[in-house]
Amino acid sequence: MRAVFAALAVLAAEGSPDAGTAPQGSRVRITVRAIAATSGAEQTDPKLAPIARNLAEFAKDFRWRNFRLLSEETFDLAFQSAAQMELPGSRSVQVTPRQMSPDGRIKVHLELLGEHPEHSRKLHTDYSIQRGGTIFVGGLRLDPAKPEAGTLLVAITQGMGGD
Amino acid sequence: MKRRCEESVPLIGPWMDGELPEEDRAWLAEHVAGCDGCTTRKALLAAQRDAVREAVVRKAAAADLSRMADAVLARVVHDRPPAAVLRLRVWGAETWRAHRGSISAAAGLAVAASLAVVALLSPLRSGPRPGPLLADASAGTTVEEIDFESHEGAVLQSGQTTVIWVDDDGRAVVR
Repeated sequence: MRAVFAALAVLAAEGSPDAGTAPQGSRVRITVRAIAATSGAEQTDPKLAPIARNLAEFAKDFRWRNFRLLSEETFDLAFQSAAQMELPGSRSVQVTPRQMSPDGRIKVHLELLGEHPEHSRKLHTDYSIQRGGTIFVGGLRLDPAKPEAGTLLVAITQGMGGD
Repeated sequence: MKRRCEESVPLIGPWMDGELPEEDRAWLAEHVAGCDGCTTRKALLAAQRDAVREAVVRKAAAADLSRMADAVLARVVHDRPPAAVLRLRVWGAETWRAHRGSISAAAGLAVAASLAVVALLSPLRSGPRPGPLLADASAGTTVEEIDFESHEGAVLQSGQTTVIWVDDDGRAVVR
Protein backbone atom coordinates (compact mmCIF):
# COMPACT_ATOMS: atom_id res chain seq x y z
CA MET A 1 0.00 0.00 0.00
CA ARG A 2 2.86 2.38 0.84
CA ALA A 3 4.32 1.72 -2.60
CA VAL A 4 1.04 2.59 -4.26
CA PHE A 5 0.88 5.91 -2.40
CA ALA A 6 4.46 6.68 -3.40
CA ALA A 7 3.66 5.99 -7.04
CA LEU A 8 0.59 8.19 -6.91
CA ALA A 9 2.64 10.98 -5.32
CA VAL A 10 5.19 10.78 -8.13
CA LEU A 11 2.47 10.87 -10.77
CA ALA A 12 0.82 13.85 -9.10
CA ALA A 13 4.11 15.72 -9.00
CA GLU A 14 4.79 15.08 -12.69
CA GLY A 15 1.28 16.16 -13.69
CA SER A 16 1.16 19.34 -11.64
CA PRO A 17 1.18 22.67 -13.55
CA ASP A 18 4.32 23.80 -11.70
CA ALA A 19 6.35 20.84 -12.85
CA GLY A 20 9.57 21.97 -14.49
CA THR A 21 9.40 25.58 -13.43
CA ALA A 22 12.44 27.21 -11.94
CA PRO A 23 12.86 27.31 -8.23
CA GLN A 24 11.95 30.60 -6.57
CA GLY A 25 14.75 33.14 -6.72
CA SER A 26 16.51 31.64 -9.76
CA ARG A 27 17.68 34.11 -12.32
CA VAL A 28 18.76 33.80 -15.92
CA ARG A 29 21.57 35.72 -17.52
CA ILE A 30 20.85 36.46 -21.17
CA THR A 31 23.39 38.16 -23.40
CA VAL A 32 22.14 39.65 -26.66
CA ARG A 33 24.68 40.60 -29.31
CA ALA A 34 23.85 42.50 -32.50
CA ILE A 35 26.34 41.49 -35.16
CA ALA A 36 26.99 42.87 -38.62
CA ALA A 37 27.50 39.88 -40.89
CA THR A 38 28.94 40.88 -44.23
CA SER A 39 30.61 39.18 -47.16
CA GLY A 40 33.90 41.04 -46.80
CA ALA A 41 37.24 39.52 -45.84
CA GLU A 42 37.00 36.57 -43.48
CA GLN A 43 37.32 38.12 -40.05
CA THR A 44 35.65 37.85 -36.66
CA ASP A 45 35.62 40.69 -34.20
CA PRO A 46 37.73 39.68 -31.13
CA LYS A 47 34.85 40.87 -28.94
CA LEU A 48 32.84 38.00 -30.35
CA ALA A 49 35.26 35.40 -29.00
CA PRO A 50 32.66 33.87 -26.60
CA ILE A 51 30.54 32.83 -29.59
CA ALA A 52 33.32 32.33 -32.14
CA ARG A 53 32.55 28.63 -32.45
CA ASN A 54 28.91 29.36 -33.29
CA LEU A 55 29.94 31.96 -35.86
CA ALA A 56 32.35 29.52 -37.47
CA GLU A 57 29.54 27.00 -37.84
CA PHE A 58 27.26 29.69 -39.24
CA ALA A 59 29.92 30.70 -41.79
CA LYS A 60 30.06 27.15 -43.13
CA ASP A 61 26.47 27.29 -44.31
CA PHE A 62 25.94 30.95 -45.06
CA ARG A 63 27.79 33.28 -47.37
CA TRP A 64 28.90 35.81 -44.77
CA ARG A 65 32.42 35.58 -43.39
CA ASN A 66 32.98 38.95 -41.75
CA PHE A 67 31.45 39.42 -38.29
CA ARG A 68 31.56 42.68 -36.35
CA LEU A 69 29.96 43.36 -32.98
CA LEU A 70 27.58 46.31 -33.16
CA SER A 71 26.14 46.26 -29.69
CA GLU A 72 25.89 43.94 -26.72
CA GLU A 73 23.75 43.84 -23.60
CA THR A 74 23.57 41.35 -20.77
CA PHE A 75 20.39 41.01 -18.75
CA ASP A 76 20.04 39.36 -15.38
CA LEU A 77 16.43 38.32 -15.45
CA ALA A 78 13.98 36.57 -13.19
CA PHE A 79 11.81 34.00 -14.91
CA GLN A 80 8.81 35.58 -16.65
CA SER A 81 10.59 38.96 -16.79
CA ALA A 82 11.09 40.46 -20.22
CA ALA A 83 14.09 42.41 -21.46
CA GLN A 84 14.25 44.43 -24.64
CA MET A 85 17.26 45.57 -26.62
CA GLU A 86 17.31 48.06 -29.44
CA LEU A 87 18.86 46.87 -32.67
CA PRO A 88 20.27 48.91 -35.55
CA GLY A 89 17.66 50.21 -37.96
CA SER A 90 15.08 51.02 -35.25
CA ARG A 91 14.36 47.37 -34.66
CA SER A 92 14.37 45.55 -31.37
CA VAL A 93 14.41 42.12 -29.81
CA GLN A 94 12.58 41.08 -26.67
CA VAL A 95 13.47 38.00 -24.62
CA THR A 96 11.64 36.45 -21.71
CA PRO A 97 12.95 33.43 -19.81
CA ARG A 98 9.88 31.31 -19.16
CA GLN A 99 11.04 28.43 -17.04
CA MET A 100 13.67 25.83 -16.52
CA SER A 101 12.93 22.34 -17.77
CA PRO A 102 13.52 19.27 -15.59
CA ASP A 103 16.50 18.44 -17.81
CA GLY A 104 18.11 21.77 -16.94
CA ARG A 105 17.37 23.53 -20.19
CA ILE A 106 16.03 27.06 -20.20
CA LYS A 107 12.82 27.82 -22.03
CA VAL A 108 12.83 31.28 -23.61
CA HIS A 109 10.22 33.35 -25.42
CA LEU A 110 11.67 35.66 -28.10
CA GLU A 111 10.06 38.36 -30.17
CA LEU A 112 11.65 40.29 -33.01
CA LEU A 113 10.09 43.66 -33.71
CA GLY A 114 10.34 45.60 -36.95
CA GLU A 115 11.15 49.20 -37.73
CA HIS A 116 9.48 52.19 -36.16
CA PRO A 117 6.87 53.55 -36.28
CA GLU A 118 4.91 50.37 -37.02
CA HIS A 119 7.21 48.26 -34.85
CA SER A 120 5.39 45.27 -36.24
CA ARG A 121 6.28 41.87 -34.91
CA LYS A 122 8.41 39.96 -37.41
CA LEU A 123 8.71 36.78 -35.45
CA HIS A 124 7.92 35.22 -32.11
CA THR A 125 9.13 31.89 -30.89
CA ASP A 126 9.51 29.65 -27.85
CA TYR A 127 12.63 27.58 -27.63
CA SER A 128 14.48 25.49 -25.10
CA ILE A 129 18.21 25.75 -24.90
CA GLN A 130 20.92 24.27 -22.75
CA ARG A 131 22.73 26.49 -20.27
CA GLY A 132 25.44 28.45 -22.02
CA GLY A 133 23.87 27.78 -25.40
CA THR A 134 23.58 30.37 -28.15
CA ILE A 135 20.90 30.73 -30.77
CA PHE A 136 21.07 33.01 -33.80
CA VAL A 137 18.29 35.05 -35.35
CA GLY A 138 19.29 36.33 -38.77
CA GLY A 139 17.98 37.49 -42.09
CA LEU A 140 17.11 41.12 -41.33
CA ARG A 141 18.90 43.61 -43.51
CA LEU A 142 21.73 45.32 -41.71
CA ASP A 143 20.56 48.60 -43.18
CA PRO A 144 16.93 48.46 -44.34
CA ALA A 145 17.75 51.01 -47.06
CA LYS A 146 20.79 49.10 -48.38
CA PRO A 147 20.04 45.48 -49.22
CA GLU A 148 23.67 44.77 -50.11
CA ALA A 149 25.10 46.04 -46.83
CA GLY A 150 24.89 42.62 -45.19
CA THR A 151 22.66 40.97 -42.67
CA LEU A 152 21.95 41.66 -39.05
CA LEU A 153 22.68 38.62 -36.93
CA VAL A 154 21.31 38.57 -33.40
CA ALA A 155 23.00 36.12 -31.04
CA ILE A 156 21.19 35.24 -27.81
CA THR A 157 23.23 33.39 -25.21
CA GLN A 158 21.53 31.93 -22.17
CA GLY A 159 23.12 31.15 -18.82
CA MET A 160 22.11 30.84 -15.22
CA GLY A 161 22.94 33.49 -12.70
CA GLY A 162 25.78 31.45 -11.31
CA ASP A 163 27.27 30.49 -14.68
CA MET B 1 16.79 46.92 -134.76
CA LYS B 2 13.59 48.78 -134.11
CA ARG B 3 12.54 49.64 -130.61
CA ARG B 4 9.65 47.17 -130.81
CA CYS B 5 12.09 44.45 -131.99
CA GLU B 6 14.38 45.11 -128.99
CA GLU B 7 11.45 44.36 -126.72
CA SER B 8 10.38 41.34 -128.77
CA VAL B 9 13.64 39.36 -129.13
CA PRO B 10 13.94 38.27 -125.46
CA LEU B 11 10.30 37.14 -125.51
CA ILE B 12 10.37 34.95 -128.62
CA GLY B 13 11.93 31.97 -126.83
CA PRO B 14 9.45 31.93 -123.91
CA TRP B 15 6.63 32.44 -126.44
CA MET B 16 7.69 29.33 -128.35
CA ASP B 17 7.88 27.40 -125.05
CA GLY B 18 4.33 28.52 -124.20
CA GLU B 19 5.43 30.47 -121.12
CA LEU B 20 4.37 33.95 -122.17
CA PRO B 21 1.31 35.66 -120.60
CA GLU B 22 -1.67 36.19 -122.82
CA GLU B 23 -1.37 40.00 -123.00
CA ASP B 24 2.28 39.80 -124.22
CA ARG B 25 1.58 36.93 -126.58
CA ALA B 26 -1.04 38.99 -128.44
CA TRP B 27 1.11 42.01 -129.22
CA LEU B 28 4.23 39.85 -129.87
CA ALA B 29 2.37 37.70 -132.43
CA GLU B 30 1.06 40.83 -134.07
CA HIS B 31 4.57 42.32 -134.20
CA VAL B 32 6.29 39.17 -135.50
CA ALA B 33 3.63 38.78 -138.22
CA GLY B 34 4.47 42.25 -139.53
CA CYS B 35 8.28 42.17 -138.97
CA ASP B 36 10.58 40.23 -141.32
CA GLY B 37 13.53 40.37 -138.90
CA CYS B 38 11.65 38.90 -135.98
CA THR B 39 10.04 36.28 -138.24
CA THR B 40 13.52 35.17 -139.28
CA ARG B 41 14.70 35.11 -135.63
CA LYS B 42 11.72 32.99 -134.63
CA ALA B 43 12.47 30.56 -137.47
CA LEU B 44 16.13 30.30 -136.39
CA LEU B 45 15.19 29.53 -132.81
CA ALA B 46 12.74 26.86 -133.97
CA ALA B 47 15.40 25.27 -136.14
CA GLN B 48 17.94 25.22 -133.26
CA ARG B 49 15.38 23.64 -130.94
CA ASP B 50 14.55 20.93 -133.43
CA ALA B 51 18.22 20.23 -134.09
CA VAL B 52 19.01 19.81 -130.36
CA ARG B 53 16.02 17.54 -129.85
CA GLU B 54 16.99 15.37 -132.82
CA ALA B 55 20.59 15.08 -131.61
CA VAL B 56 19.54 13.99 -128.09
CA VAL B 57 17.11 11.40 -129.43
CA ARG B 58 19.71 10.04 -131.78
CA LYS B 59 22.33 9.74 -129.02
CA ALA B 60 19.89 8.03 -126.65
CA ALA B 61 18.93 5.53 -129.34
CA ALA B 62 22.57 4.64 -129.88
CA ALA B 63 23.33 4.10 -126.18
CA ASP B 64 23.81 0.52 -124.95
CA LEU B 65 21.95 0.16 -121.62
CA SER B 66 22.03 -3.61 -121.53
CA ARG B 67 24.90 -3.70 -119.00
CA MET B 68 23.70 -0.87 -116.83
CA ALA B 69 22.41 -3.14 -114.03
CA ASP B 70 25.73 -4.98 -113.84
CA ALA B 71 27.58 -1.66 -113.71
CA VAL B 72 25.43 -0.44 -110.81
CA LEU B 73 25.89 -3.68 -108.87
CA ALA B 74 29.65 -3.58 -109.46
CA ARG B 75 29.73 -0.03 -108.03
CA VAL B 76 27.81 -1.15 -104.93
CA VAL B 77 30.23 -4.03 -104.32
CA HIS B 78 33.30 -1.87 -104.63
CA ASP B 79 32.03 1.03 -102.50
CA ARG B 80 33.38 1.22 -98.96
CA PRO B 81 31.05 -0.07 -96.21
CA PRO B 82 29.58 2.60 -93.88
CA ALA B 83 31.74 3.69 -90.97
CA ALA B 84 31.54 1.70 -87.74
CA VAL B 85 30.08 4.68 -85.87
CA LEU B 86 27.28 4.99 -88.42
CA ARG B 87 26.53 1.28 -88.28
CA LEU B 88 26.50 1.40 -84.48
CA ARG B 89 24.15 4.37 -84.51
CA VAL B 90 21.74 2.64 -86.87
CA TRP B 91 21.91 -0.54 -84.82
CA GLY B 92 21.27 1.41 -81.62
CA ALA B 93 18.31 3.26 -83.08
CA GLU B 94 16.74 0.07 -84.43
CA THR B 95 17.33 -1.85 -81.21
CA TRP B 96 15.88 0.99 -79.10
CA ARG B 97 12.82 1.21 -81.33
CA ALA B 98 12.19 -2.52 -81.02
CA HIS B 99 12.92 -3.00 -77.30
CA ARG B 100 12.47 0.40 -75.65
CA GLY B 101 10.21 -0.98 -72.89
CA SER B 102 12.64 -3.67 -71.80
CA ILE B 103 15.64 -1.35 -72.03
CA SER B 104 13.93 1.32 -69.90
CA ALA B 105 13.01 -1.18 -67.20
CA ALA B 106 16.53 -2.63 -67.12
CA ALA B 107 18.08 0.85 -66.90
CA GLY B 108 15.78 1.81 -64.02
CA LEU B 109 16.72 -1.32 -62.10
CA ALA B 110 20.41 -0.68 -62.74
CA VAL B 111 20.19 2.89 -61.40
CA ALA B 112 18.31 1.74 -58.30
CA ALA B 113 20.87 -0.97 -57.66
CA SER B 114 23.74 1.51 -58.06
CA LEU B 115 22.16 3.92 -55.57
CA ALA B 116 21.64 1.11 -53.10
CA VAL B 117 25.28 0.06 -53.39
CA VAL B 118 26.46 3.66 -52.89
CA ALA B 119 24.20 4.07 -49.86
CA LEU B 120 25.42 0.85 -48.30
CA LEU B 121 29.12 1.25 -48.97
CA SER B 122 29.67 4.99 -48.47
CA PRO B 123 31.25 5.86 -45.09
CA LEU B 124 29.18 7.67 -42.51
CA ARG B 125 29.79 11.39 -42.43
CA SER B 126 31.37 12.90 -39.39
CA GLY B 127 31.87 16.48 -38.30
CA PRO B 128 29.78 19.40 -39.48
CA ARG B 129 26.89 18.73 -41.83
CA PRO B 130 27.33 20.11 -45.32
CA GLY B 131 24.16 22.14 -45.29
CA PRO B 132 21.55 23.56 -42.96
CA LEU B 133 18.88 21.23 -41.71
CA LEU B 134 15.83 21.78 -39.58
CA ALA B 135 16.81 22.28 -35.98
CA ASP B 136 16.38 19.42 -33.59
CA ALA B 137 17.08 18.63 -29.99
CA SER B 138 20.37 16.88 -30.74
CA ALA B 139 22.07 20.28 -30.84
CA GLY B 140 20.87 21.18 -27.37
CA THR B 141 18.27 23.60 -28.70
CA THR B 142 14.65 22.83 -29.44
CA VAL B 143 12.45 25.34 -31.21
CA GLU B 144 9.09 24.41 -29.76
CA GLU B 145 6.93 27.00 -31.44
CA ILE B 146 7.61 29.70 -34.03
CA ASP B 147 5.55 32.19 -35.98
CA PHE B 148 7.13 34.29 -38.73
CA GLU B 149 4.06 36.51 -38.93
CA SER B 150 3.83 37.83 -42.51
CA HIS B 151 7.42 36.91 -43.39
CA GLU B 152 8.96 33.79 -44.81
CA GLY B 153 11.35 32.02 -42.51
CA ALA B 154 13.01 28.82 -41.49
CA VAL B 155 14.74 27.16 -38.59
CA LEU B 156 18.13 25.88 -39.68
CA GLN B 157 20.88 23.92 -38.05
CA SER B 158 24.49 24.91 -38.68
CA GLY B 159 26.54 22.32 -36.84
CA GLN B 160 25.53 22.65 -33.20
CA THR B 161 24.14 26.15 -33.68
CA THR B 162 20.47 26.76 -34.32
CA VAL B 163 19.68 29.64 -36.67
CA ILE B 164 16.23 31.18 -36.95
CA TRP B 165 16.11 32.87 -40.32
CA VAL B 166 13.65 35.61 -41.20
CA ASP B 167 13.52 36.31 -44.90
CA ASP B 168 13.63 40.08 -44.91
CA ASP B 169 14.36 40.55 -48.60
CA GLY B 170 13.49 37.25 -50.24
CA ARG B 171 16.93 36.57 -51.71
CA ALA B 172 18.74 33.24 -51.49
CA VAL B 173 21.32 33.39 -48.74
CA VAL B 174 22.32 29.83 -48.03
CA ARG B 175 25.42 28.66 -49.85
